[in-house]
This record gives sequence, C-alpha cells and structure tokens, in this order.
Amino acid sequence: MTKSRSKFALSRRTMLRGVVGGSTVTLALPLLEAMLNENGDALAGGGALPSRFMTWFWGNGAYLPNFEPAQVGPTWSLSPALAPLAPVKDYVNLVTGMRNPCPTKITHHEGMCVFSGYDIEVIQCCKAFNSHMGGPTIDQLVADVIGMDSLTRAIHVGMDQKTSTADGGTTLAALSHRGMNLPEYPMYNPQTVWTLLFGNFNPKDDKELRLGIVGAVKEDINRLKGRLGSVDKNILDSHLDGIVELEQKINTAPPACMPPAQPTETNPDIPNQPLDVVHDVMADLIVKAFECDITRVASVLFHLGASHFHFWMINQGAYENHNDNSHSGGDAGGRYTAAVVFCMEQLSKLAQKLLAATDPTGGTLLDSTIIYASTDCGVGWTHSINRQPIILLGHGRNKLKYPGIHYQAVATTASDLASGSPTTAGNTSNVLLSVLQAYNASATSVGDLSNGAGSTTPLADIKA
Amino acid sequence: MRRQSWRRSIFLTTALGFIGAMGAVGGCGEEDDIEFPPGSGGSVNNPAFAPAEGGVRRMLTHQYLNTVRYLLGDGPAEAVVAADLLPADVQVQGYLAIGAAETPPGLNNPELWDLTADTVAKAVVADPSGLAQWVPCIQSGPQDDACYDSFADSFGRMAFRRPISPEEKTWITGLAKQARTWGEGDFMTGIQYSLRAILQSPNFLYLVEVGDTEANAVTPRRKLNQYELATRMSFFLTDTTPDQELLDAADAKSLATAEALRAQADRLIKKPSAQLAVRLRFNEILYIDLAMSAQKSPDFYPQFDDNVRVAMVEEAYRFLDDIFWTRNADAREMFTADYTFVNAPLAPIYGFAAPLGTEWKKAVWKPEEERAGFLSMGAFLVRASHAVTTSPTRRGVFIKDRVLCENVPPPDPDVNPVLPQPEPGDPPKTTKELVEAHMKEDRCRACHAQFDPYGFSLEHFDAIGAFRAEDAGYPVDSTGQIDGFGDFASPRDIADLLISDESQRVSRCIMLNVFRSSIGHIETEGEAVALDELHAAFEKAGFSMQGLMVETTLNPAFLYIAELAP
Repeated sequence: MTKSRSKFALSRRTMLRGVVGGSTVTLALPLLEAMLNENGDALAGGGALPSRFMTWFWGNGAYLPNFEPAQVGPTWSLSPALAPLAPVKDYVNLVTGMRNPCPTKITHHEGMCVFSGYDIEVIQCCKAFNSHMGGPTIDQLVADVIGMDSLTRAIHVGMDQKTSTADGGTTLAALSHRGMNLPEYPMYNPQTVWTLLFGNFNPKDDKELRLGIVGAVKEDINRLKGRLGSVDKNILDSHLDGIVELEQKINTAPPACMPPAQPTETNPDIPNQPLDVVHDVMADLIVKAFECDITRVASVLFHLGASHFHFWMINQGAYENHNDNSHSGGDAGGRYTAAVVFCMEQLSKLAQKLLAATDPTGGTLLDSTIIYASTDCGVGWTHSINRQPIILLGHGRNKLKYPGIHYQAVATTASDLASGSPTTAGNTSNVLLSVLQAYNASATSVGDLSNGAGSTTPLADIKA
Repeated sequence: MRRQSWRRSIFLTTALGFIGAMGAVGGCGEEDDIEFPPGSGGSVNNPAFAPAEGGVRRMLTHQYLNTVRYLLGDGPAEAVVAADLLPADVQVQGYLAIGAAETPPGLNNPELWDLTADTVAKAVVADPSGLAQWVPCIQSGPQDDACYDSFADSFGRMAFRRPISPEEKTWITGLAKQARTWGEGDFMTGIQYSLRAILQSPNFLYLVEVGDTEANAVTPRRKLNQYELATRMSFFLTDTTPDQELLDAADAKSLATAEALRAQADRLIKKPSAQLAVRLRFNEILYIDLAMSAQKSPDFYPQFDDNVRVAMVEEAYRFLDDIFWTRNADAREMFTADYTFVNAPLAPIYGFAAPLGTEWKKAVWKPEEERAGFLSMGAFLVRASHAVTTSPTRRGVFIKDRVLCENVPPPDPDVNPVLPQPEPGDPPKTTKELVEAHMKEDRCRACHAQFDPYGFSLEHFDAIGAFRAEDAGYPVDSTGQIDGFGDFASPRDIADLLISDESQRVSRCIMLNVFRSSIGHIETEGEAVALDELHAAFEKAGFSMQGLMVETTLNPAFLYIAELAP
C-alpha cells in the first residue's frame, strides 16, 4: 500500500535548508549551487540530490526479430525498431529475453505486471478481459521514496483514448497503481496537467482559508467513515490520502521558477488523434516540472494496452489497426515494426528533451532520471510474456550503467524470435528491483514474493 | 476501460429540443396501497432476498454538472464545462456507475474537485441569482450573519440532500465569517469560500447510502432513509439532485408508502431531465457516442465524414426517444423496429432520398435489406467494425454481452489468435470465411461459436453501416446458427428470435443494463428474487421503458441495502 502523506510527518523542503552567508535559509527550488555541499554530490544539509523517475508504455509488444539487437553486452547497436533512440543511445540500457513472471494470464493484462512484480487479479464478470493490478507499480514505490519532497507526488498522463469495450477492470486503464483497485488514471488533457503542475504559481494569500476548507472536508470524511464502519473504507481512505496531498500542496511555497505558458492542446477524443503532438506537449510539461522540482515522478501511457489505434500518421489508416497488425503472426508487411518505430520516436524525443534540459545541480536532467519503458507482452500474436523487453533510459545519477548495455537473459535465434513462444529466462522483476535500488539503496525486494512474481535479486548487469 | 468524455455529454444535453409530445406514462398497473415496504410479488418478505451493500458512490460527472445547474444556475454550470477539471468517469465491469461506486479516487481527485468548486464559487459571486433562489437574502439583503445561517440551512440542505447537522452548520458559517474577514468585510467572499468547501465535501460528491436497520426484517437488512431514498430516486430517474418537492417529502417522512413513492416517480419521469437520463444510460449501454471517435479509412469511405458521424449518433437518440417517449412502446423494439430516422448527410449511407435542409424524417428500412433495430444502425455497425473491414466478432460479442447479458469468457491464454491469411495468389476470402477459422480449432470454437455467428448475420452491412451485396467479390453469406438461440441470416431474423426467446433474455438484459448503469453494481444472487419481480412488473407494463424506470424505484433491490459489516 502506498505510503501516504497522512502517515508521515515529514514536511516538504526539510532537506533543502542550507547555509548561505552564515545564516540558515530555506529556499524554494530549483536548487542553487549554494545549497550543495563542498563536493557538489549532496545537499549542504546532507540530503541526497533529487533524482527523477518515469514509466512509459506502448501497447501490443513488438516484432522481436526487428527489435532485439544481435549484439549483447557493452558493445551493441540499435535494432531497426530501436533506431530512433540513436541520439540518446549511450543512455539506453536494454533488457531483452526476460520472462515477465506474472502467474495469471488473460492476454495483455499480464504484460502490465512488468511494472509491478505482482500478479493480476481477475474479475469474473462482465467483460472478457477483466482484472485489477495486484499491487503497486514501480513508479509508486519510487514516489514513496522521492515523491514527498516535491510539490506534487507524481503526475500521470496519457494520449491514446481508443479504449476497448472488451476490457474491464483497471489494469489496462492506468499505468500507475497504488495497490489493487487503486488506479492513478492518466490525465489526457494537457491543460489539466498544466493546471495541476503549474496552477499554483501565483497563489493568493488565502492559504488559511484553503486550509480551513481542507480541515472541514477531512472532518466530513471522518464522520462518514464512522457511520460506514468497514464498508467503502478504501474509498474514503483514498479520498483522505488525496486531501492530505492537497493540504501539503497548499502549505508549500511555489517554486522560484518561470511557469510555461498554458498549452492550447486539449487532446479531444477525435478519430485520428495526433498522439505525437499531444505527447510532445505533455513531455514539455513534465520536463519543466522536473526542472522546477514540482514533481519527480511521472507515468506516460502513450499508447493503450491491446490498443486498436490506427497509426494514421504513418499512413496505416487504410490497413488494420495496430492490434490487428500485431496479431497477424508476423510483421504485417512491416507495419507492426513501423508502429513500434513510431512509438520509439516519441520515447526518444522525451529523452532528448531531458538531455537538453540542465539540471541545476550539474549535468542534464537525463543524467538524474531513469525512464522505465515497456509494453503489454513480448510477442503480439500469442500474447506471450516471454522475452518481454524493457528499455531503460537515463542512469539516475550514475546508478545504472553509462554507457548502457544490452542485457539479453538468454540467447536466441532468428526463428526463435519469430516464433509465438520464444525461449526465455530470468525474471523482469529483477530489473524492477535494480531500478528501485537506484532510489533506495536499502530496498531488498520488490513485488509479490509469495507467487514468484516479485524479486529479491536485482539484475546486477545493468547497475553501475 | 471505457472513459466517458463527459464533455460529449454536453452534446447530449443540448439536443433535446426535438423530442415530440410524450406518450402517457404507461403500464402503472393496479394501485398498490400496502404499507411500506411495497412489493406486490412478496420478494421483500422472501428470506432468499438479500439486498446489496450500501456505502458511498460518487456522482458521475454529468450528474455533478446537472446538479450545479439546478442549484446554482447556468453561469456556474457553463463555468464547470469550460474549466474541464472534473476527474473523468472510468468504467469498471462495463459501466461508469460501477467505476464511480467501486474505484477509490485518485490522489489528484480532491485537488480537481477543489479547483472545480473554486470555479463554481467564483461564477456564483459573478451571478448569484441561482443561489438566491434558495437564499434570497444574498441578493435582497440583509447580508449579515443571519444570512450566513440561512445559507447554511437552506443551501446546505439542498447540497447535502438532507438537513445539515449542527457541526456542519458551525463549519459552514464559521468558514464564511473567516473568509469575510479575510476579504475585508465583503459578504460574498464569505459565501464564495464556504460554497467552495460545500461543493468538495464528501456529503456533496458522494451519494451516501447507509440507511437504518429495519426492525423485524425477515433477514437482517437496512432500509434507505427518506433522504437517501429521495437522492437515489432523483439520480436514478433524472440524473440530478433531489428537487425541493422531493426533499420536502423526505422531511415529512412521506416517502413511506408504495403509493407515495409511485407518485414521486411518476412526477419525476415526466421531466425533460428524465428523458435525458435515459438517453445517457443507453448512450453508455449501447456505446452510441463511440461512433464519434471510431477511426475509418478515408480511402475506402470518403463519404463517411463528421456530418455522418454526428448524424448517426443523433439517429440513435431519436430512435430511442421515439420508442421510449413519443410512442411509449415496448422497449425491445430498440432491437426489432423496422424504421429509423435520417437527415440529409445520413440518408445516402442507407440509400434513402435525403430530406430537405436540416430536417429529420422517419424512414422505413428497405424490406429486402432485412434491417431491424439498433443492430442495423450506423452507430453500432461503425463502432463494431474496423477501419476498413467489418468485425463479426465485435458485433457478436456486443449482442451476447449487451443484448443478452451473457458472460463472455476470456480466451485460453495460450491460444494463438492469428487468423490464417490468404496466400498471395489465392483467391480473396470474405470476412466471414476468415473469421470462421475461429471455429476450426476446438479451443477457439468453444467461445467463438457463442457469438461470431451473430456477427455473420450482419455481414450485409459494411464498416460504415451501408448495405452491400458482396464482400471481396463474392455474394455475402450472412447465415449463422447459435445453439440455444436458432438459425438466422439477418438482423430481422435476430430480432424475431430475440422476441420469441423463452428465457426473455432481451427484456431481462434491458432491465439489468439500466440497473447496473444506474445503481452502480452488478446484480447479486441475493437480489435475484427482487429482480425477477421487477422483470414481471416490466412485462406487465408492456415492457415500457418509462414503466421500467418507475417500477425499479419501487423494487426491494432499490429500497434496501445490506446490514453494515462491523
């Protein structure tokens, strides 16, 4: 279960006190050089320098023969599907061939377990593909560690709105989950995202009144909880968690940072959504939010699980949609890979924006970030979660290998990669643990250890 | 994982003007004057009846909007629309109301509710006339402490849908006074901040359904109290907060006999908001507005433009309105009727002559096409197809899931769903031939035989709902067969089989869809006897939709909730 602020008295910004000119000063972010210690590798007060974390998702897997690079180890070249990552290749650690350990399988949903190390919980009625994620996703675990020291714990965004009428439950509808049936749904409208990230920049001096409102709502919730007993406790507890988030936000001074202009893009659910354009706008907002330390954790549901989106932008409108292309048993005349390439172009653009942004503590934002990107299966047409790829971008302040490597869990052949059930080994949750340890060196496990979905063994090969 | 674009629901709220004269509320049956609890069939006294759990469930976003409009006026409602800050409703189990009942709010939701409440409060300060209908002193004066008291009592009651408690009155008036001081004595600043708080209180955002333990019940259970009943009835029938008359009835504890409940239900069902509420239910149940966002190939369907999309959605709404309200007919006609409505952009898709100007006209389907009801209409055929080709599987699944309310199980996880494609040089295959490959393997056939054939019956209708005699150069073969249902070759055949179905699956499914999409849970086993009784009442009302809506509010599954767990 998520660590909620209501359980911790830690206030924001306690780590940001520094000594300037002999007197103790607490400053809003972004950090200034004066806040660093002599070595520049920690804050003057002893706290760690801020790191950032993102998850990123595209749907329907990949055509593995075009996706997995032939070379393994520190010397490797990008495959055709990954070619768009060339500008940031040194920052890429690629993990292939690993088994997603999710025990329960209903197609696509189990692919999402790569983000959590839990099983899915199947719901029996009333949709064919229906489940909840069984536990918190990695972004929430990282937010537990680093999310309490920024204005907003995390931000969750999405682009593709072509949801399926065949899927139910929350597993595919959110990339971030705080626990079972605790989805953090993505925001699809960049203007709303802007409001949540930057809307508090010019607060009125009505803080006490807003805190009065928060107090009244808290009391109302507690009175209701008293009347309900255990019924719907999870709903009201979750509401309370969100109220405490709001309270902390009200109590925090806005960053000393220029907010970006509010975007004009609203991402309406039109037939041919410009996923790339929306993603670009959202990426700019997230990068700016990282720069201003408004948030340190973000999830991007670029493309939905089992997505039926037609990639009209690359002239696939007259053909089957991406779900069909990925389920055709091959590369669908090259269209399966072409769509993956398109997705990788967007992921690359995001990484490039982070690379172009300066971190006030030195280096670029990409140096202090890890992006964990994956999909909802390894092989699209069988939904096999063997060889489910994970792309890591950024080394999170030298916690991962830089330049990055291609780690392949078990060797393969061209025909094996083209098959419906390729050979596999290992446990993708080992990667989750490596990532978690990048933010919390004392973490010893991730996910559910009772059913093999979790891990106590980090993948050492990708660690610095 | 269907999200509801609630902004689209604005389209729905503004297009009501064309509704014709309403038919009389039908099928009320005999007057039932037994004392509360009602229940002519006796399910309420049946030990097998176990009501579902109560609790709290969020208002849907369009219900929030309707409530703000009713309580505070058009200006504040338009401000909510413009701000677009409410968290989206997301379906669970295929229904938005279940998502609203079962999914805990995300961490950012309280902030979004605060931002929206702030927007409303500022709009009220700009135009207080809506609020003044409940609290005249804010406009006519005196604007003093006693007026804050009135605000708390009168508006608090309307917002929380029950009289407020002394603690609530204390914080409402206390916050108002604090804000007035901060605002250098400005009275309306007090109203602004207090209103902002009220609109984000859980007492406003959630329908609270806790009830009271019923004395001498056949099995332990609770009755919804008067205010909870007024609230549930109002949101069920009209998608908005209880009006003054309903709250007054609750004050007087008069919602206690079957007669009194029926009188209120009969009153509410006559409101335009009731027509809109039913329309939104069926918009969701039938996925009508998803036709707006379905991707289609412009190369193959250049004639399918936005005007056609909009027309197909409105066609479906007009069609349902005609059955439910203008004619007050058997609701099952939504799947069997031999006519539809067309305007100029839509008519050519179906091969009709276009009406003049912006007119809509009723059009009887061409007999040779054997179309019938919603399953033949563009909104469905478009949504349940691909960009170029049809999808018998999607169309068939819809019929099994939403028309018959039968569970569609997931596939075997190891199944290979690849349909064999024609080899280059082979003659092309029709969609039906390709999909029939599902039936060749046992593991696939086990499920696909239960729904693909329904889709075959629709193969004469292409991916934009136009009639076609051929597919891939061959004459369309639309024959299909499903065990326990029958043989068929067209939507007309499907319609005939639906009506003659001994298990009455269609009418039961209509009842269940309305129930699930409104009350916010999948029916439980314990509710079965009550829902059997409801179906009998629905049948007695000639399967009138208005009859179903009214009878649902009188049913034990609507009036009772389970005893609270400790």
